[in-house]
Amino acid sequence: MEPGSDIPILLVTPDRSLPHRYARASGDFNPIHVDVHYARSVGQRSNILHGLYTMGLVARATMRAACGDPRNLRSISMEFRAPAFPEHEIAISGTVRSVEGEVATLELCAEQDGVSLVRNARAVVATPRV
Amino acid sequence: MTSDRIALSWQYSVGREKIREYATALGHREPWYFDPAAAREAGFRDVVAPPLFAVVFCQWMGPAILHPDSPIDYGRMLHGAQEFEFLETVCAGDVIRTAATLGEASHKGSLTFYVIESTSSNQEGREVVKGRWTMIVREA
Repeated sequence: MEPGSDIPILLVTPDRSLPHRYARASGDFNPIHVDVHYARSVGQRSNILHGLYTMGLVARATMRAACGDPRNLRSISMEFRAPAFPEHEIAISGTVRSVEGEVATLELCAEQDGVSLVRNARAVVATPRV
Repeated sequence: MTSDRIALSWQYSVGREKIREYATALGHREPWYFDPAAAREAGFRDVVAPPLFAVVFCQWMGPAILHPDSPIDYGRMLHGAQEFEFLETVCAGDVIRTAATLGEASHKGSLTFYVIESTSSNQEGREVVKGRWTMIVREA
């Protein structure tokens, strides 16, 4: 991981049932995620993806750049800027901002249809020399 | 000085099938999230959980958010921000205890911010994850 280098882009298109499968996996059945009519009644154009699902994709993309090893992910943080929707492609990208010893700090982006889903997304990874 | 509005803790028993279900939903294919032999070969004691599996054993802070003393209007709540610090990996068979505290809310215009701080530890008393969960409620 060199400062300024980009991690491989991760592209995911959650299918229509993904919010329900993620809800079952996480235990979070907030109707805004799984009920289209409820979501519209509170002003969304459709049911919205769980923020922690998007964060999970960001974590997956970050770890993939660090051998996929969960022990290498030290921390992750972000603000959720805009809702994401099923059936539209999400692109996760990132850049290595700095490296200190065996620890790299990355800045990450998550976009859908040209909209940034997150703000100030950052991860710290261990990069042990192989 | 602020006092915590809510402080409580809960326990969660981590199982292989739930890890597999969660890893599948996130689109993971790495074998250590699914196969105990592959996990052990990679140095884990059993099938290991992806780091964001913390949402599962933290129960997405549901016990705190839905607590009778909680000031958070769940029906109008949105997830504003999230931080996790990962200290140890979590594997099938672990029992995780999570302690959560909700302090005083802050306001910015028509938005109310609630920050829940959490710490989760395993059955050996080792801290595994720290979380900072920011929920936002917009005034009607």
